[in-house]
Amino acid sequence: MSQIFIELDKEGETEVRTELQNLSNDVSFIEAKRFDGALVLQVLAMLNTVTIPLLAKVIIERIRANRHVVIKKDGMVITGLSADNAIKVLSELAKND
Amino acid sequence: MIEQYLAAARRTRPPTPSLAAEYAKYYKQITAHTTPIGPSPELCITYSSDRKCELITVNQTDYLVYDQYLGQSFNRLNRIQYALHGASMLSQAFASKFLAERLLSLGQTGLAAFFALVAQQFQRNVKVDGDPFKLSKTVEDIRHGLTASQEIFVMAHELAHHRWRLDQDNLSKETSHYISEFLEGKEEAAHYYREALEQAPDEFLEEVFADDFGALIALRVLSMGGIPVWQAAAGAALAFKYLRLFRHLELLAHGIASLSIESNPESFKRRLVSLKDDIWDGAAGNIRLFQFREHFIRHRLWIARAQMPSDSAKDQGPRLIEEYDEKTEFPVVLGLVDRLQGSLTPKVLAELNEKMGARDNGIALVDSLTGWSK
Repeated sequence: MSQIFIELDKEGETEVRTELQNLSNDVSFIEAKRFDGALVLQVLAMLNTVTIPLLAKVIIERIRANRHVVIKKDGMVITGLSADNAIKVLSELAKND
Repeated sequence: MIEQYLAAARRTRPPTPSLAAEYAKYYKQITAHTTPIGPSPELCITYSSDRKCELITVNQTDYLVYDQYLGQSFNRLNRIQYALHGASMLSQAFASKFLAERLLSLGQTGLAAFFALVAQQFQRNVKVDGDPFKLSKTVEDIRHGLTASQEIFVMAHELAHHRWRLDQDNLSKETSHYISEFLEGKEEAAHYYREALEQAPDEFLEEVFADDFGALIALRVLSMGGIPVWQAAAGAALAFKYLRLFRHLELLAHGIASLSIESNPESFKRRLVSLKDDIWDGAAGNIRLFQFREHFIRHRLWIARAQMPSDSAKDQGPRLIEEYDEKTEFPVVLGLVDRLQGSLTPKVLAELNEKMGARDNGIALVDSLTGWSK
């Protein structure tokens, strides 16, 4: 099963946790504090037919609001992500394991 | 779950079992030298191109993630400080390899290939004059002491964040007291730093505490283990400078990645050159806060050392730290971009992207150039 890592800014954390609360078997929140003290919200998520639409919603909202969002798979940043192609990109990543 | 997190978030490879055992020993010594205030985070060893040690919480369990590649990078920089010749170019080679690995993770295979090739060229240029690392046993022992101090500093720094969560009020008062003590009697510098401290983000005090804790634990653990005090102290101070260099390089990698869509040669050049200022000052303009942290660590180590038996080689530490700026920091942070501005152009980048895009194994090729796949 394919897994991705999503990094978001901390702003709106409650909102994101609420949106993903029904995915607790497939989504984990990671709290991390780095050397430079930067605070980020990190999410480890399984990709499947249930999670993809909800994850895409969170990602699209962030992209549209011009807020920080980074997706990684196997440590590689996924480039070329946009509000228009988020579902397609996540679906491709789910297949590509 | 921690393994899954690391596998998704970082490019990893298996850590070396003997080194993992060594890190476990360090961690045991660190926790043995600290007053217990609850269970310590579980140590997890990884080996990743992120070169990052971090404290994380997954499903209510705290983990201290230590990265073997971070230790190797410290070791490499320590070796460069004692290189027989070509230290500046070796530093630029190190930085170019760092950039290649980070750009690859950012999905910039063409740029990654450029920096991997540059790193190889710098190395070859230095080797023309002979092996720069034919070092005496005395120097190798010093390098080992410095690296051990740096690895312990980083682990203890992260452990300090865990302690802060459990005892924030007391630690905050204590750290503020030490800061006042440091600023006392330093009129001009105190004004410079107070201005910066007033603008500092909320988490800054926690970082200062973590630096202080990390440096003093490194000094304590290593002096008990027979490593000369000057090496433990210089190692901890240099660890902070190395980590700041890695932050600069991380910012530079992101800045360079953002140039990949710039096709106008003039704009490309202008933006490339301006990255030097961007990384030095950072987006938040917080260079003063980094300067403060460095000076505070050195001040606290100086006080701690004054309470220890006299060290005949005590001058070696300050000299090593001063020389680091000339040998590594300036050539990398100020010199590397200048050196490459003539060769890194939109045309070169477009050609590299085309070549790398046409290959199925572009990532593997860069990995073989940087040595990551070895």
